[in-house]
Amino acid sequence: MKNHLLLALLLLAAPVLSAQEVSVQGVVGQNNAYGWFGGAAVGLHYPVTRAFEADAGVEATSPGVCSFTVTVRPVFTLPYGSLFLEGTFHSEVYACYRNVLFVSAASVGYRMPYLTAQLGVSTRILGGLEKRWSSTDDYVVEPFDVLYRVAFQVRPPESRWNLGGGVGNFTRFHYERSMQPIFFLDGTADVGHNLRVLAELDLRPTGMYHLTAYWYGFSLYAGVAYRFGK
Amino acid sequence: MRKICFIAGLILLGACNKYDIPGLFVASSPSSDKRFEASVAYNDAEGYPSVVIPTEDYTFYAATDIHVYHSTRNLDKFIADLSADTGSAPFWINLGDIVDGKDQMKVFDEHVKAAPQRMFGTPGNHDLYFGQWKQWQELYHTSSYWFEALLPSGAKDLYLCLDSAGSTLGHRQRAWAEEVLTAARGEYRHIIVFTHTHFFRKDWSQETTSNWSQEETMALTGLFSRCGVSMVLTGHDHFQERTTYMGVQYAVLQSLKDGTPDPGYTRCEVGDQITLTLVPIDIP
Repeated sequence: MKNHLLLALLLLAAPVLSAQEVSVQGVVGQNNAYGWFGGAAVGLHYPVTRAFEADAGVEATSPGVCSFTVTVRPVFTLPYGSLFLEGTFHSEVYACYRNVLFVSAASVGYRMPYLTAQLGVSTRILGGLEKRWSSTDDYVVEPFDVLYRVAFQVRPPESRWNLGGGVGNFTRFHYERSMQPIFFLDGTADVGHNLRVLAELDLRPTGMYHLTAYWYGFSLYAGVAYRFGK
Repeated sequence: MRKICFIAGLILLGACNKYDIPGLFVASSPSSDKRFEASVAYNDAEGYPSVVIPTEDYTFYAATDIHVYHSTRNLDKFIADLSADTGSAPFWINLGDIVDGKDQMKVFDEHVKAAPQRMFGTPGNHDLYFGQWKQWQELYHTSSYWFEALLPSGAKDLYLCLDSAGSTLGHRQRAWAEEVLTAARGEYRHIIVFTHTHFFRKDWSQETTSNWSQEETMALTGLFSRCGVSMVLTGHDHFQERTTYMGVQYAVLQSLKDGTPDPGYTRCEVGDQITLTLVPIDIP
């Protein structure tokens, strides 16, 4: 029994300990589906090589929703800026509603010192938790949607602090349909050599694209990121 | 350059009569919560209607996205067909977007009054443009309500109208819907929800118009499944689509708008099962 527990702890710790950067954030928010909610999010960053990196993240929130994201990202350094490709698998388990969402996405992006733009496609599958995969009655496929994100920063990336913002239809822990944009503001500040403070505010309207824009909700993330090594 | 600005200005002016451009940033009609409060005030005063159906199996008609804009050709054909079917249920359902542009709601109302069947309607996003919620309220009083179809055997069907014109139910309407559906579970032969905005984005036939947020999609589809809803009728997309998800049938109905490809209305046959049939409008 003791050995099983140790093995389980090692298996859980392995992805965290092998990451170069670990971020832990609290989240608080409000929206028309959940009302007020809170939760926590953990992000891991793996710079595998200079030209390839990966991210993973998990978020759990009080209504009973858990999301997982895994992203792989080849990066091509250019004379000015860098081009990157991104492949993502994302899942949101809505235990409270007894259903689940799977999103797979592929995109291309261009990163400059003050601006990053990303454009791609996604496919989503909505399923019931009691689904029978042999029947098409328990899941819905939305085969093709657009993924986009434009982000700006006021200072160069290597600065000790930075502010930024932008608009897109996805964040690290949430992938929306293309007609539900998410406006965000974010900031970072380095505290010492390895520690960074992070914050992000996501603002979400609904109905914009059919000319009846109303408030839908917001999420506020705040936490720290720790970079291992020198 | 001047010519380009002039043409752009004309286009914008034309668009402004049909499309509420400031609605891209802020809708001109009150929020979901405010519209719901007004609806509840009316419902509390007037109660919830019942419709007596003389047969266990019955037929009713539904039409959506009629978009009246100085033309009511398809609407008039539908009303004529509806009036001629004296064996159908004494009600029909309208799923919103009854008008395009300003000052058309009373035109719509005058034309539908010709049918003997009572109309139960829900507003669409176009019906909120230019602050027209006020007109909706004057004509139809409520946008969140339910009614019962009473059958000879003593059984009942529940029809629940949800206002999704702003592509969200808002807090209060959502809590109310949960309360109504939870109480209704097991009490009705069928529970049929009707609302404007459709739930799934399986194709790009709706082009760039919004539907629900992901969380609200999951919350409401989970609620409908848990409470045994038989069918959800929606519009907004303009092109019919049938989906079954978590044991609930979701039907997007074809648009009745003049000038659209393949316009039609839907004949709904309710018995042990619910069967929908598109009736095309074919006016030369």
